[in-house]
This record gives sequence, structure tokens and C-alpha cells, in this order.
Amino acid sequence: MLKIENINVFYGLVQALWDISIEVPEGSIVSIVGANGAGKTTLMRTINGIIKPKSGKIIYNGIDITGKDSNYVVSNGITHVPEGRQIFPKMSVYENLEIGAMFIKDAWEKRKETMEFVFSLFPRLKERINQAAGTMSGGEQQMLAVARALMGRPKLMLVDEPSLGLSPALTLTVFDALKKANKEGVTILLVEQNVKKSLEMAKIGYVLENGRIVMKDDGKTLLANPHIKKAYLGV
Amino acid sequence: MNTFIQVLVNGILQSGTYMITTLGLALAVGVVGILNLAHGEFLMVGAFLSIIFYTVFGIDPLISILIVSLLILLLGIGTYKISLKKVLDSAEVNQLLLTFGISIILQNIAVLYSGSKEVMVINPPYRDLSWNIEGIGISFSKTLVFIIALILVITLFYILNNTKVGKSMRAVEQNRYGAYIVGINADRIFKIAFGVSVGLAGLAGVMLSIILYATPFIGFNYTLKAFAIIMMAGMGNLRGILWSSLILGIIESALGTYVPGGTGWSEGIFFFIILIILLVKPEGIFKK
Ligand SMILES: Nc1ncnc2c1ncn2[C@@H]1O[C@H](COP(=O)(O)OP(=O)(O)OP(=O)(O)O)[C@@H](O)[C@H]1O
Ligand SMILES: [Mg+2]
Repeated sequence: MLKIENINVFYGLVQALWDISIEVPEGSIVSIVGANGAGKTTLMRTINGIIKPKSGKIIYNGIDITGKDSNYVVSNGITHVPEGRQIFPKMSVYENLEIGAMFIKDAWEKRKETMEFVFSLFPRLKERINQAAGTMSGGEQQMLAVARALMGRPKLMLVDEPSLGLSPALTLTVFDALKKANKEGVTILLVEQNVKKSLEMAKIGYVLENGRIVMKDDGKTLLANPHIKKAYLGV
Repeated sequence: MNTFIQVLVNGILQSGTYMITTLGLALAVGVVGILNLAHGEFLMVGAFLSIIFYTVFGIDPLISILIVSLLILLLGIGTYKISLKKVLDSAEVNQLLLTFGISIILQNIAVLYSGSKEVMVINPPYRDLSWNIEGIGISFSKTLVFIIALILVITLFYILNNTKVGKSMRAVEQNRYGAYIVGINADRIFKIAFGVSVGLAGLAGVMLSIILYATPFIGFNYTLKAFAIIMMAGMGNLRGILWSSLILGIIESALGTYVPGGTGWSEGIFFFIILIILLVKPEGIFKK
């Protein structure tokens, strides 16, 4: 479904991603783990079209989306749970959800139905449907960010550290929601600091270090790898 | 009693002028966050075009208003594409410098056209028309300005809250990065918002050409007053613009009637009220 081939990404003169190649098969959950500053968010933004790679290719369902603007990428069914939530603070929960479906044709037509689905995943959001999003708690805002991305009925969802700042209970809720969405057919590319959880649920995992992919294997195998255990699980 | 009602009527009608001249800028500044110091000059160009259409081609302002608004909307889109777009991501002072530059250019073009003529006035047949109801005089053209202003405020309010393009405008202002994330073409939204904003300024210019006069230099005062009303209303608050305009209009009218020589102070009082509000409630009095 998504094939990234040898991309190189720069911030000004500083290179952030080196020759990255990643493949995300349709229907799967693929995890990327890596330390702070490894380049995970940069990778997500590059796929989303917010940052343009200097070289390399991003192929999505056979179409070349390299260097395309984010509105094009989104309209083709790739949505994003960004680092730091990035919700619209002065809009209501309802409006935030609605806007998640607004620029994807099929999603816009089915928005009522999708909203029922995301409310079944996050009943809390339904209770707060008319509240201004900026006045909600951090955890609620994170749920909203996930729900907003689901409102686009994505084929591929880019998920950047969804558990950041969440209580263990809420983390479970969010991960459950991702699993349910995946069962409904959403392919997920996940970046997580919660390495154990994310590799457990991933079909394939990649390890990103200093802007380079240093390992690729299925999730379970990576979890058992001594280097991963030492560097990321503190075992 | 009659004097009091007359004061009220005049004040309400005067508020129409404030609303119509502020509305466009409220969209640019308050909704999408573009600081446009040339707002009043786009308005002035609208007034000039209206006067030209009337004197040269004999077309009534109430007919040319559509063409003029559209022309200035296109002028706005052009301005956005060749200049404003490039400074949106840099410091706000760049927007101020750029739009100030544009205001001077528009002023100079107007001077080239009007040459030595001091002021330009037109006299469409309904200019001095007024109704007299139970001794209360109601100016036709000012009523027209008020009604159009009201319709525009309500329409814009509706668009911002109920349409894709309106919601996108609010989204872009609240979180630019979030807007990209959900697939909003922010560049297109800024272009539309700025185009409509100055188009509305042009429309205001046409309406003012019916009740007032035009010179190349009328713009700055309107820009300043519009900024002041937006601050008073609270950023992005269109309903606040309505109330603020009404309050200012009625105070101004009362002053002119009840205080000897009061009309002479109206400008001073206008900014005095704004100053007090900024000191007491800097976020605007109608901010929810
Ligand atoms: N806008 C930017 N300008 C310049 N450098 C940047 C920018 N954004 C990120 N970087 C740099 O690029 C590198 C990768 O950053 P990135 O945000 O992708 O890391 P990350 O893996 O997401 O880290 P974290 O786990 O802390 O979120 C870092 O060295 C960072 O300092
Ligand atoms: Mg990150």
C-alpha cells in the first residue's frame, strides 16, 4: 500500500533522514521505534506532504505522491494523528470531527455513520460534543486527534505517539481504538515511545536511529532482540 | 422625545457605515489573521470606481456595485498572489510594511487620476432622498447602507459557521499546522479570504460614494477606525462588530446633538472610547 524508497530529508542544510526505505502492506500495522530526535516525526510529515524530501520516492497504491502537497495526500485517504494533537481549540468537538472528514469525498458523504463509530470507540467525546476542544483535558484532546483522523475513513493512518501524556488506562483505550480501526480495514503506520505495546501489535517493525533505518523484522522478533531489549525496553 | 428618537435613528444609521467599512477587515484580521493596512485604500478605490462608472459611463452605483466589488476582489487575489502570500509565514511586521506600501501605491494611483480635483462627489437621484415619519427624518441612502451592512454581516457569519470554506478559514487561523493535517489547502483559503476581504472594502467604498465624498486620502482614517472597532469587538467576533458599531454610532450621534459643537469632537471621542475599552478589557468587550 505504501512504499517509501530511499528518501533523504533535510531541514535547511542539516540532514534528518538518510536513505530511508519502508514498506507498509495493506491492512497491516507497521511500527517505527526510535529514540527522541531519531526522525520519526520527520518521516510522518514527509509522507503527509508537509515536508518535501530532497530525493527518493513515496509510492501510495501505485501513485507517486512524492513532493505532493498535504491536501492532495489527505484527499487520497491518508490521514494523520500528529505529534502534539494539533486540534482546533476554538471549535467544538463536533466541528473538529467534522473537519476531519471534510476534505475526503467518500468520508464526507458518510460522516454521520463514521461519527457513530468514533463515538463507540470514545464515548467520552460524545459527552463533550459541544465543548470547545481547547478546553478539554490533554487526554481528551488526544482522543479527539485520533478520532478526527478516523473521521477521514482513511485507507492509511499515520499515528505519531498517540499515548504521549496519557494515563495507562487511556493509553489502553487509544490502542484498542487503533486495533479496532485496523480490523475495520485501516492500515496503520505507528510511531510510539511505548515500544513494547507498539511492537506487540505490529506486524512489522522498523528501528530508526539517527535518521537511518538500522533494523527491520516482524514485531515479535524485534521485541526479543537483545539490542532492542537493552536500548528501548531497559531490560 | 422626538429629538431623542432622531438621535437614535441617526446613530443606528451611522453604525451601518461602521459595519460596512469594518466587515472586510474583520475577515482578514480577525478571522484569518492577515494584517491589512491598505484596507481603507481598497475602499477608496471602490469609491473612485463607483464615481468613474457614474460620471463617465452613467452607470448608477447601485448597479456598478457588483462589478466594482468583483473587480476589487480580483485585485485582492492578484495582490495576494504576487506579494502577500510570500510574507505570510514571516514576522507580522512584514505584512504591515507590505500592506502599508500597497496603500501608498493605491493612493498615488488615485492622485494620478483625480489630479487637481479636491474632492469627488456624485449625485445620484436618491442621494438626498429621505422619509419623514412623525417628524423623524430617515435618510434613504443611509438606510440602504445600514441594511446592506446588516445583510453582509449576517451572511458572513453564516458562511463562517456553516460552510466548508468558512470553517476552513477559522481552522487556518486557529491552527495552521492542524489545517494542513486535515487536508485544507491553506494557500487557497488565504487567497479567498483576502480576496473577499478587500472585495468587501470595495463594496463599502461604492456605498460610501453615495452618502459621502472621495479623495485619494480618505483610506487611512477608515483603516484606523476599522482596526479600532475590531479591537473593541474582540478578534474574530462578527457579532461584536455589530454591537460595537451601534454603540459608537449612537454615542457619536448623541454627542452631535446634545453637546454644543459636539460633532467637532466625534473623531476624538471615537478613539477615546476605544482607548478606554483597550485599557479596561483588552480582549474586546464582546469576547465570549
Ligand atoms: N523544523 C525543524 N527544523 C530543524 N530541525 C528539525 C526540525 N524538526 C526536527 N528537526 C530535527 O530533526 C531531527 C529529527 O526530529 P524528529 O522530530 O523527526 O524526531 P522524533 O524521532 O520525532 O523525536 P521525538 O521522539 O522526540 O518526537 C532532530 O534532530 C530535530 O532536532
Ligand atoms: Mg516526534
